[in-house]
Amino acid sequence: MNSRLESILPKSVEYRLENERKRIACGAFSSSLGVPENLLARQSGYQVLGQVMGATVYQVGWQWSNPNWRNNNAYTQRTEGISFEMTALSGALMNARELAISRLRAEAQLLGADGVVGVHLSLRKPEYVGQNQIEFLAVGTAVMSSHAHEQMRGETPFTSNLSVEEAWALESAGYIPCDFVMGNCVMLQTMATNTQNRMGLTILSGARGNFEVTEYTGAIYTARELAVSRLEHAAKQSGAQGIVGVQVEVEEVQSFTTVNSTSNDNTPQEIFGFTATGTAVKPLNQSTNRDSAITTVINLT
Amino acid sequence: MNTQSHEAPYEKGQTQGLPESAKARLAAGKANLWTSDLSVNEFLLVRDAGFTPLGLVMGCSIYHIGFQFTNPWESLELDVLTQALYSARELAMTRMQEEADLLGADGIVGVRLTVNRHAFGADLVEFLAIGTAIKHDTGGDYRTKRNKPFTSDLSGQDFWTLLRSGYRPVSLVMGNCVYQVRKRGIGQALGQIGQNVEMDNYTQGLYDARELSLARMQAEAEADGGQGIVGVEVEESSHGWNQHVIEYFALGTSIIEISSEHKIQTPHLVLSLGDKK
Repeated sequence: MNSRLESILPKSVEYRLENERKRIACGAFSSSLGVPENLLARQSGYQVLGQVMGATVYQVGWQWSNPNWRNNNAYTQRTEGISFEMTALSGALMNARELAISRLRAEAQLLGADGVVGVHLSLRKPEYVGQNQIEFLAVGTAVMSSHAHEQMRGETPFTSNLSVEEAWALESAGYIPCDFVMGNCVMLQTMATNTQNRMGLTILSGARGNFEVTEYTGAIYTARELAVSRLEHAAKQSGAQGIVGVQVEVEEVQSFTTVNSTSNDNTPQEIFGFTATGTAVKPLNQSTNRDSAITTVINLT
Repeated sequence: MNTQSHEAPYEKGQTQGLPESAKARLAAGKANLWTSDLSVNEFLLVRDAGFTPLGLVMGCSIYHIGFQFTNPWESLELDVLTQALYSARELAMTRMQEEADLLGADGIVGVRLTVNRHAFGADLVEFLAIGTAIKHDTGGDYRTKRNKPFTSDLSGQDFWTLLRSGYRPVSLVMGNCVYQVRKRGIGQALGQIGQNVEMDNYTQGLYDARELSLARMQAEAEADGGQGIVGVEVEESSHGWNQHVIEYFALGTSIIEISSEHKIQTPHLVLSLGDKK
């Protein structure tokens, strides 16, 4: 095992992958793909090598949620209508994800794979880990491409959350996956005085109206936009031309401690967090000569 | 027929509701990378139909839903609430269209218009519109009568099939109605104890509300020059109100003809070997 990979993977992996490599040498493999997916993989020139994974248990640090404390300037500034990114939270969640994915990639590399398909990344909060601790688990199927687009064989294996069918369709149309990419952002926003009045939270208020809470809109909008722009940045880093299958999901932030304001501040606040994921793709240099004309069908199942 | 007053003027290139982060992202993404929430198959079909995805676009609005004081013994539309919920969706949609225009798109496909409650206070809801902005490879005018980029909640598969059969989407059209169903009078309620009876207050109220939401959606489609509406769904929801207050929300994609031929190739019958998922 090469020493750089060894440093990020536990010993037990070495043992399992060693056996796995021997089995691959005699043509055996393990895979979580269904039968048709396996057949299509073989037909389209992918050799399935085996299951790979990456995991990490991570502790999320504290984050002051009072803007004054954060600014080291207690009790002097206004606390209404302020927003900032909770960098401890977004940083921790993204670091943990990247660790899991990089271990998955390292396992695939040890198997001699060209890439990993069907990557599934899940956040787990098992009972036996402490408060503020989470596990990220990435699993996928390592494959080797027998028709060997040179482009596909980068220095490290590609990762993607595509199924074999999707990888095949993409390749037929002249694209290949390059990386499973991610981006996130967690914003905190405190409510503006004006909104509090209109909502009837202070003595000044009258009727309870229907209105847009513009500061919250701004914060949630910004959190999503930043998550997506970080995703796009990651894709550019890996030399991609585009990203398919982007999903923007709510980041699990409620279960983490934020250290709240201490005494004289009751300003309502909300935390908005989002993660964006997708598969970055790039065009193939040489064109494939598969016939990819579309036929309309009625499915009988 | 009262149509909904949402004729806020729209100009190509306006960015009224967009945060700085959105403008920065779209400016950076414009040059050399597209992002799309289409699946691989949808992406390939959109490409096959002659369009290129430009980027993921979105718009949102967090709204405080208040209430409207009325007489509970009367069935009627709560017009203030109807208008509030409509405006919130309209805000989200317009912001998404502004984003698409910043990318120079012809339109947006796969739009999902959702109402989300996060961990907020009870009265706060988020309206979110999100989809993929696309542009035709050879140009052409796809804008709506109100000079907005076209929008559609159709999947990539539906979009491809629609274009093949000689139609194109014009706009995502919607209509809503928040309705209060009157309570039964005490005498009437007592008289009906233990009997099988039609609750005509509900029947009539829900019927009216559904009709109103559909009619408003259709009026909106006509205003945009649509010849028909596909994929209509009517959704029923109670945004934290009491059980006598309901919102009906109708949503669909209006379409117009682009040729007089409306045939698709004869479908083949296939038996799929794939997993049933």
